[in-house]
Amino acid sequence: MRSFTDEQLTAYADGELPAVEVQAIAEAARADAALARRIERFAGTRRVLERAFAATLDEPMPARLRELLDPASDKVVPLRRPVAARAPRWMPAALAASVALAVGLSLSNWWPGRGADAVAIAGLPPDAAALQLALESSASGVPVAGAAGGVRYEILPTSTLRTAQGGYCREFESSLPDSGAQARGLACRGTDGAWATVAVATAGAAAAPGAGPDGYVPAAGDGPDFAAALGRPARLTPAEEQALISQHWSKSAP
Amino acid sequence: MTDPFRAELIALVPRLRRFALGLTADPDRADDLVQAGCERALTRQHQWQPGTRLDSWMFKILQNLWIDQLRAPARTTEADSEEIESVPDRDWDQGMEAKLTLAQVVDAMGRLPPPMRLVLTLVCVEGLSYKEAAASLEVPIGTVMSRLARARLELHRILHGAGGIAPEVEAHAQLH
Repeated sequence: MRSFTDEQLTAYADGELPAVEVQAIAEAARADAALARRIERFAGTRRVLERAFAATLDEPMPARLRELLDPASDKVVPLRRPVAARAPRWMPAALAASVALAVGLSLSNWWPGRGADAVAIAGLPPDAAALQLALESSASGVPVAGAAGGVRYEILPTSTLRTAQGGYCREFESSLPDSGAQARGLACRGTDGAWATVAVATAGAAAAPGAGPDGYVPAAGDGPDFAAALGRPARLTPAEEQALISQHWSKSAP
Repeated sequence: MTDPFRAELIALVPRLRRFALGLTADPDRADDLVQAGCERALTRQHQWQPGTRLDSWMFKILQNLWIDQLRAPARTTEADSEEIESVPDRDWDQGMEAKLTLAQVVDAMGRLPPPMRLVLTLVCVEGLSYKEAAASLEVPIGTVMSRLARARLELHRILHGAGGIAPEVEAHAQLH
């Protein structure tokens, strides 16, 4: 069994490894509980620090700092506007509605720009590889957190669908805790093994206000129903999904 | 009317306080550090290039002020002999994780040697990439990684009550 250094595992927990090494570690950790526990020490310490220290951001500015920086102001100003408590209002992002409508028509046409040319969408991690990896190897309901280029992200695959043509698509949620931006999307796996994001809706602080029609505002605050755009896809059970993940989505499986 | 530089600095204050708390592991000292950093920034405003990142610039100012304080001969020792309740070292406990308060985490940070605290604060608290942290610390990325790995294991050990580390081991580690 391959062994990994603590430096590698730290970088893995921080989302700082190249995708190929991430894949190797993720695979090894699935088969090696001790390795998984070791990784969890690095991931867990980061989570604790992030969560505990985030509490300081909501503290009011100390008077002495306010007097120093903003002597003209004599009133206490909250530093951060409270986040609206209501459910996020989902809005289609750059790739959204028109692409989603085309989804049912042809698998081969699902290639919006990706990689370096992809449009940066609020709520999605800046590093496209992070989303690829989460969709490729994380089970639905299992969040993948990391950081890329100093931006923290969390990706949560939420379901796996088999299209009528026999392809696979996954719904996912993505959020950037620092900016509060959130996105929900649908990505489909191409024959080359890459996941192409075919539809995205965004919400949260970084979403463009009034970016789109109300078509994406769900009645239950639950996000757009992307799956509906696929016609009548079959939703896979966790066991089917796990089998696909462990076989790298190969269709030769029984 | 607040000028744009001050406005941006004001908006940054919550993160500066968080950063300073990570470095000092002491809320009062953290605000002292932020105040000193803001004073320095206001006097050196002309050195900041508009369009570049004010947060990186400010973190560097705070970091340097803090390092100067650590090196000052008048510095009081932070040695804190109070023992954390001792439990056997064990694997990461996610149930415990959710119960940890900021004060407990800050206390644990205070038991780490300053170089470990600094790299943890840059990467795990402020979310800098390894590249950005390496630039701020003026060390190679490999050094960031090894320091981070050791710091994480130590923090894990402290949070799980296996006791603090021997301060002499790391006391002379380089800050830069």
